[in-house]
Amino acid sequence: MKNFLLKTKGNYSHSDRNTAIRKFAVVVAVAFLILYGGRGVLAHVSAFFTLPIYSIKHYFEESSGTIPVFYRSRIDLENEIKSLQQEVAEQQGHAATLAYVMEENSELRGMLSASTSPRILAGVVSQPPHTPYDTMIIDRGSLHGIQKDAPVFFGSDQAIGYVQNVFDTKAQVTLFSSSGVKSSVYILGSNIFTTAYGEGGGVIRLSVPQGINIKKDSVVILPSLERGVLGTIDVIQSIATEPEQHAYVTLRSSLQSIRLVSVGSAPIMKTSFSEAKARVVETESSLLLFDVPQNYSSSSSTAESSTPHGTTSTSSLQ
Amino acid sequence: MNIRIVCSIGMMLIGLFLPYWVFAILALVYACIWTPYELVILAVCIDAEFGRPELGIAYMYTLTVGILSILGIYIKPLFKFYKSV
Repeated sequence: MKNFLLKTKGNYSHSDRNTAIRKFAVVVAVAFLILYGGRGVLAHVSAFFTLPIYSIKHYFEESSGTIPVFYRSRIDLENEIKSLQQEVAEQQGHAATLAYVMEENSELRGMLSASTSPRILAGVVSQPPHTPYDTMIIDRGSLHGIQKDAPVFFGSDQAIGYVQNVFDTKAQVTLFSSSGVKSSVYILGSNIFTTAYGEGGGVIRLSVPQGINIKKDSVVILPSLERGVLGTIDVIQSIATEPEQHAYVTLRSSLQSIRLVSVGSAPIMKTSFSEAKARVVETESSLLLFDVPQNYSSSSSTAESSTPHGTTSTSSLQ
Repeated sequence: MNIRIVCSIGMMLIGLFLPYWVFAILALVYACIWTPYELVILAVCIDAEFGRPELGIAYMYTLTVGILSILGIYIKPLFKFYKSV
């Protein structure tokens, strides 16, 4: 320990340091005096030494000799490469923004022009699995016209749930796929009404008696909603010894990717069977319609007069 | 000794071509290693040639080198964990 202490900084002589500082302070003071008194002479002496250095620098910067030109062109090329790389990065940023805006635009157009009844556009604040009980929080509430039990759509006709609780500026949406949610659905192709059970995580289970032919990718619709498509059948589980076969429906896009939804302006009303049948026909026929681009408007106007399927979905609905 | 000469020349080029604050930082580092008499000479030359007394910035380099060097000499022992024999 003693040996260690002898070797550490504690053993350093402070008088040595003070002497060095005093000596140096004197040198600096002398330097100031020289600078104050003989600035002109000193400037000439200094210029004698700095002139060659600046001459070399000037030679490399301005001369048309081979070496300076090579040096300068190399520097210029490097600068140009850097600026071009920066420009490319900026253009990529612009392109990404443009793609995002175009996608959002088409999404908004699809949501707002798909229904005869007006809808309220809402942003998704939180969705499963980041919310408890498989619910979704949207950023529109009673102040924006959201009503309790109003249907919630993704895209033009994908029904994903209904408004469970409404607050001033937000609302809580219960998804049709939430565990314990039951809904009456209709399977196109099989042409059968059945009950759908929410399984959670965006999965809905349909129970159909054995013997009824159900096919994968069949569209499942919600007759209680106007143009409400629940999804398509992804997996069919049929065990011959069981009385029912099960079909599993998932959303067309994953729950986590949903950013915007549209909310119906009116709550879901109790539907009679005859109304449900009528809506099945309406929804089935609407699946055959598609959006005709604006630049085909002249041809579409001709088609409008001749065939009903040549019109846009909006105009045909209205 | 050779390293010190090379560093002195480097400091001269830095003082002439690079920004003032780069020179100041490196002067402090230099003072922590050696007693920087040559930096004082360099700073006096720079101030004499480029300083502008009419603008009140005639002693900037000398003043900086003086203060930072004294600081460097003062803190130098703190970096010595073992005394060289």
